[in-house]
Amino acid sequence: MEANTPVFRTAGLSYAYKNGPMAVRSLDLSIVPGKITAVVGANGSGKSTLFSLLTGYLKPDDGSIYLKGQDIRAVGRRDFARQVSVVNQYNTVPADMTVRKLISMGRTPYSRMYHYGLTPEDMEAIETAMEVTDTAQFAGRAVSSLSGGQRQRVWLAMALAQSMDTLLLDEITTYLDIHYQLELLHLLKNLNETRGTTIVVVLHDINQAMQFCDEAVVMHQGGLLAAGPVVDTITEDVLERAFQVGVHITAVDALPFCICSLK
Amino acid sequence: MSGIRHTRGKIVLFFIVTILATVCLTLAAIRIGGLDTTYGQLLRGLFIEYDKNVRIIFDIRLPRIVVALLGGALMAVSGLLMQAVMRNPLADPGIIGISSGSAFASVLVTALFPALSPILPIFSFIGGMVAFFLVYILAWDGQITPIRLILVGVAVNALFTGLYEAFNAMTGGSYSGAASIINANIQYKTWDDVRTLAIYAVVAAVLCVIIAGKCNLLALSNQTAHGLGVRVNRLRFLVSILFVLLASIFTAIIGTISFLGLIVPHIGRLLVGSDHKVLIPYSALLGAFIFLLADTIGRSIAYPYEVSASMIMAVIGGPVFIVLLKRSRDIYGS
Repeated sequence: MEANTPVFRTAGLSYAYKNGPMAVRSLDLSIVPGKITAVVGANGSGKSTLFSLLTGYLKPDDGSIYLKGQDIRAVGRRDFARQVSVVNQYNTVPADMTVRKLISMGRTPYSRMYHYGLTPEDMEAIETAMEVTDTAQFAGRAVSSLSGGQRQRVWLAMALAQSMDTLLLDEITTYLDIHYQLELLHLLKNLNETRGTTIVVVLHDINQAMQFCDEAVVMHQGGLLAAGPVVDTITEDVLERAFQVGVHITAVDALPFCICSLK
Repeated sequence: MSGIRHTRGKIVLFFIVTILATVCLTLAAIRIGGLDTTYGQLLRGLFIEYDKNVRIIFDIRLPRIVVALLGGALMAVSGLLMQAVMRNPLADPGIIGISSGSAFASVLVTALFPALSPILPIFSFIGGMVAFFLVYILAWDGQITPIRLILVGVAVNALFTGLYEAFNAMTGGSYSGAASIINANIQYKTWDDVRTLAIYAVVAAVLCVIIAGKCNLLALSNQTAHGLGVRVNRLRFLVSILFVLLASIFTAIIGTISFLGLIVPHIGRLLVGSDHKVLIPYSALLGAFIFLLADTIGRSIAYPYEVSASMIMAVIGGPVFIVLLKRSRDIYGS
């Protein structure tokens, strides 16, 4: 793969839910490697549908998705999972499952038929994932006994244990208090800077998107309103059209800050 | 879900205790009944010299005990796998109609084509799959909620139960092979039944070893499992075939029974946790113990009359089911 080949590229991507309107329509999009890309937009704009299409969970009605230049229909599920990790907004786990056990499930794409035991590579990947996410301290505790922020770090650790180079995250800061939101976003920023991990994150908070992300994809009614570097895409004009609100972008302590008001 | 922390030491302890309890129960069950012999007589009669009483016990009582042990293990694992596939703690092949679908097919074949008896489990499996798909399709509404599954399952169960009971009444005979399927009566099981059950049990055990680790992935959300490279629908389908197969073998050889597949995995989860690599073998062990216990109680509680193991399980299982129904929201974690 050439260095500038998009991690994901979509061409004419469309999807409609059963008996529903088009959730994503004729989307042409490129995700730049080695960057953090925010996907933003109003409720129902198609962010989560686009996310599910990129993860391969939903199959497009029309159009194609390319992973590093290869049509994802030709990429096996396990091969895909070795390159791309997914952290979803909603997760379920048995009440007694320990943190270490859950993180070790991140090695599933590398498991053999019987799925018994872990190889030295598995162990190393799990230890590294716990170290990066600072989850080793509660490795033996049940996931269900952790706070919301700690749990999200554990899910992130499971994703990192997949030893991939691309991370897709769907609204993972929702329901977290501001401390855990910032902690998680700093962790992602650190991953991107130290490992060069390509990150695509669906976000609701525009300010966080401006402060932590390099690129942005702004969705509106299933279509693409703007895409590119954050400074060019998250503008007052684009946000006013995307959210139907009045927007004023200013700077606070040299950081961009967005103030919104109802029109 | 439980107050017990599932350390390796405690898991090993529960395995040892359950194995010992099963061995003790088996030894007791050998002696309980109309013919009483000492263990010394039993050993002498089995290995040294012919003893008429020991021969009777060997031909009548022992096959029944082995059938109960193997059958209990099969049904418990069937219930466990079903709960894993449906991510639903109230799933049980006996309650939601899988067993009655199998029973209906078995009753039809037993009454109309008795020559096909050696391959009865295959027809039983077909009946079970039909019932399973019926429940699955009717209960599906974007997802399958526990209460919807139970309501549809009870209706499908009633349908097949009505059909096979009507068929049995029309063909007459309360002591026929068909009647023994309906009542889960293992009183007259033979070493041939043991052989058939054992063959399928070995096949099932191999399949369970292969699939056990994968079952843990079914506890995660579909999107999460998919993100780990798992073909979730294919895995669900394969495990579904396996649990219907286990329940069908049980039904073909033993008959219909409710609650065994429900209660055993629940107790298992409380004692050894929800890791299927541990829970599947433990449920098999506990299922063997509980079904043999139910059968032994049934044949001794009102001696010389017998109460079938399925009735004992219903009396114990009913109240437990109600408790589980009330607690179902917090049983499977968050």
